[in-house]
Amino acid sequence: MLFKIYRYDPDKDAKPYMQEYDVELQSTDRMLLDALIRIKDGRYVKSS
Amino acid sequence: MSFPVRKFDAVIVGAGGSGLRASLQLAEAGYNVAVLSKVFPTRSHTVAAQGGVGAALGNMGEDSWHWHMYDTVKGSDWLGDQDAIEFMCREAPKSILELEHFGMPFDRNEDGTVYQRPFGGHMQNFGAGPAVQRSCCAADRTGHAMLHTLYQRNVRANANFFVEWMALDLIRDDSGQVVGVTAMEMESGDVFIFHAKAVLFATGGAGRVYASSTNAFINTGDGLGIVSRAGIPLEDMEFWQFHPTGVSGAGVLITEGVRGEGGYLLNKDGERFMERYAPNAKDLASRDVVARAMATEIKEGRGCGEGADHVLLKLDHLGEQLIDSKLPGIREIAKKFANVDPARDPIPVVPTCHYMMGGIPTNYRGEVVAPRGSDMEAVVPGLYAAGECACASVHGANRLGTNSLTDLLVFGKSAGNSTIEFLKENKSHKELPSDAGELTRARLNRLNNQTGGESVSEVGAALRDTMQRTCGVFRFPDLLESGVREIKEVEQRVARTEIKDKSKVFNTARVEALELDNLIEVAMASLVSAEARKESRGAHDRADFAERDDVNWLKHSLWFKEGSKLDYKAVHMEPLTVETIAPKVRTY
Repeated sequence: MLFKIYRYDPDKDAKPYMQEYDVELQSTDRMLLDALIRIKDGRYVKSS
Repeated sequence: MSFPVRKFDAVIVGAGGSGLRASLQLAEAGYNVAVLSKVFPTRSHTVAAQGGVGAALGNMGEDSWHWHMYDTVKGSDWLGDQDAIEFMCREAPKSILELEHFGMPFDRNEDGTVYQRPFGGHMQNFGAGPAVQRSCCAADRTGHAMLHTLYQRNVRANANFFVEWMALDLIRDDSGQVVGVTAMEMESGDVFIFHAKAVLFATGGAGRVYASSTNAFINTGDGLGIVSRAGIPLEDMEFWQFHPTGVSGAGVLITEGVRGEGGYLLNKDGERFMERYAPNAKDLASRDVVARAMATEIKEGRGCGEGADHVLLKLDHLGEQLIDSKLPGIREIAKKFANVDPARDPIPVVPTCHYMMGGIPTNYRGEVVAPRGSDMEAVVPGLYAAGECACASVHGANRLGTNSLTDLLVFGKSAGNSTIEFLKENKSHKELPSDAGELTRARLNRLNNQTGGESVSEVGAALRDTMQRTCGVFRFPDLLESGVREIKEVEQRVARTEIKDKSKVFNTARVEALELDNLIEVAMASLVSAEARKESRGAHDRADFAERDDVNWLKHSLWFKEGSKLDYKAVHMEPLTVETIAPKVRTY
């Protein structure tokens, strides 16, 4: 599933931007939160 | 450079039920009190309490606090301290009336009194039965209603809330007196010293040491990690409650109130199996008893579903109208997390880690106590604890449903009152020691400069997996031994975690690394205490020692971080005003 996430690090970024993540979801993932945790832990196929 | 200092009369760490009840006492008495919370107060985990708060009001039929006390002692498998249990059960009705006057929206009976539902292990006539309706509730959102009520009263009393602040370490002076805490403001990443005359921990549980848990992500045992780093032991950490009805695969809680209202459990043959395990109380036996029965059904091949890995909770026979009025939240949770409508189909459930019976050792006044010389229970001056993070101990080896909310109301208030007494005698701040904040600085520097370490999510997963595999509903000697070995290895890895993102503003990676420092103390204490206890009592059920052993093990465990050592202290068998409830065989 493709996620588009609004990102901003005030220490580095002049302004916010969108980043895309391609995530392979498992049957145990019930909620959006499960997908966000996968992305945060770096368990995604690719990002751009 | 030292951290900036803020001064308060008292600092309360945690803004769930017990923290808010304690801060209300202090704020209403006119003290300048700071309340620190990692999340907005009404998002504390008390919000997830569903079924109700236990108190012998007798609104539905005859009841007495003596019966409540008996049930609690029996539920604790005689490991609870009887002075603390008497205090809680006697004070409980008063605390409900107080809460009612604070504006708590309890469910009502026709005559206007508070509605009470049956719950597991609560009986009439000193355990003889039948079941008594003792759980005061607001539908299946009792904790939610309670938190909002208490928060609003605190705002009215001018308590100072520090929202999204995480406490990091305790500050003690040379005499051992507690004089403050360090804490990080998550928004800025800045660390402050909170200089106080007294500190009260109300940091809740640590269910996040297990892979499958009903607990919120915030339940990382912060108070327990903090005090164990400051030389204070943790009590009875081998006793973890597995709630019988977590949604299979998701872990979300389904209240025991479902069974209180008449729901029951079925195995794959459609058999109401609790009749075999607890002929009297059936589905309303104590939680440890029901959880073990379910785990046995699953182990012996009578589980449901493709993996035969859960049992079913049937409540459709209660009717859509009752479900919508008394259990609306349950219907919503079942639809969302199990994709079933419980008004038509049963909910797949499995025993899930839910509550920590152990914690920071306190007496019934909410004062933290630790061994000093020959005194096993010397008061630590200036330090208090209440709620799930504390071990008074009222729950002993197994907590009864509804008693967690009773605990946080009664001991939140009691710890608040003890703090007030202490503040009356200690009018000025004691000086901060010259090394105040150094431990926190060292931990933060270590984390910022670490190279070649592992990620927090990897090490955290290893911790949760170890606890889940080796320290579950049933315990085996070989698994406990390997669990202790494995968790000591995990401890080495926790000391070398590395975060890639070193930014300051809202850096959740840093917060999670600091939380892992607390989780590891909880996991170490749990496994080391569990491996050492050679008996079965309440939630601690060993395959190699199947019986309770009152001759050798009627005592509380104390785990010390220094050298991971254990010590033991006596159970308080003497209540305050009534006679001892002597140990006997525990059946339901």
